[in-house]
Amino acid sequence: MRICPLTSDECTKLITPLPKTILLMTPSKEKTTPELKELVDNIKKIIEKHSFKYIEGAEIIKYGDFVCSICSHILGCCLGIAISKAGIPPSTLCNIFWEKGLMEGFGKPVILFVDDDKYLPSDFKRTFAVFTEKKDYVKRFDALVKDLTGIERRHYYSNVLGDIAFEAGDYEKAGVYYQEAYLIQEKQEDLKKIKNLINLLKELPEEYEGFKDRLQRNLLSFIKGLQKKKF
Amino acid sequence: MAIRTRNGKLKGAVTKRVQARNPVTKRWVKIDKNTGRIISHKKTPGPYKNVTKK
Repeated sequence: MRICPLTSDECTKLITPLPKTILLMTPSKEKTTPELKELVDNIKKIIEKHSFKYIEGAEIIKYGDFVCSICSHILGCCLGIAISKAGIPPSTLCNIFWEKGLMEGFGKPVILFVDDDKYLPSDFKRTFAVFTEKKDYVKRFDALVKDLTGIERRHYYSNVLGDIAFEAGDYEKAGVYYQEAYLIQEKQEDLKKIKNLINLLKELPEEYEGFKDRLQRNLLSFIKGLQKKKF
Repeated sequence: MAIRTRNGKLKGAVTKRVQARNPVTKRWVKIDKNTGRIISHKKTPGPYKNVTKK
């Protein structure tokens, strides 16, 4: 079950699944500096090298609730990249850290770019950080992207955690793992597993009615979001 | 099923539990096959002893 961070109730809205896409949490073009632009360009090059797409948080414009739209995109991506550097206005930094926290709260990793070790906030000590003042920062970032978007991570979610949860009858957890696996590598195998799960839920006895409906809503919002994107 | 030998060591694999390597943290994770839940993350490198690898 997805909980809305704004209302604390169940979120039943369609999410926008963006398989093989990374969310870039960077300042908008008007607020960027030449140094920052160079860093973002380097990041984009590496993302493209790994055959991934990117979506910029600052470019997400939709009618209606802006926060809701950002949240939907966070749920649709498998990895985030945040930049915290000198020269970024404080209000933009607040937005970046809010998005980073939300994404990590949803169980998705975020790579944070900081100038140096001494500028890394203590709460982020155990998260993924890249220090741009170090000479080999591009290499370090490349290795991190490889680990976090690789086949091994997809296999872990789909064939290890997802399948074990499914066999144990924890369908809610299995659904979450299969969705994550699909977002990482966009394999049809994972989509099939999600559809199988939806079919299996229909056959569950009536005593599981509440759980069944909730999980079905969650999985169908993922599938419908995917179809909506294609057409 | 794992059994205790006379000197207190485990012999054989612990059934109903498996371990897998988390590719993000690069540490081994122990999972209960009955409930599908993650029991623990290893703090040090290397796998758990007597637990089947998935």
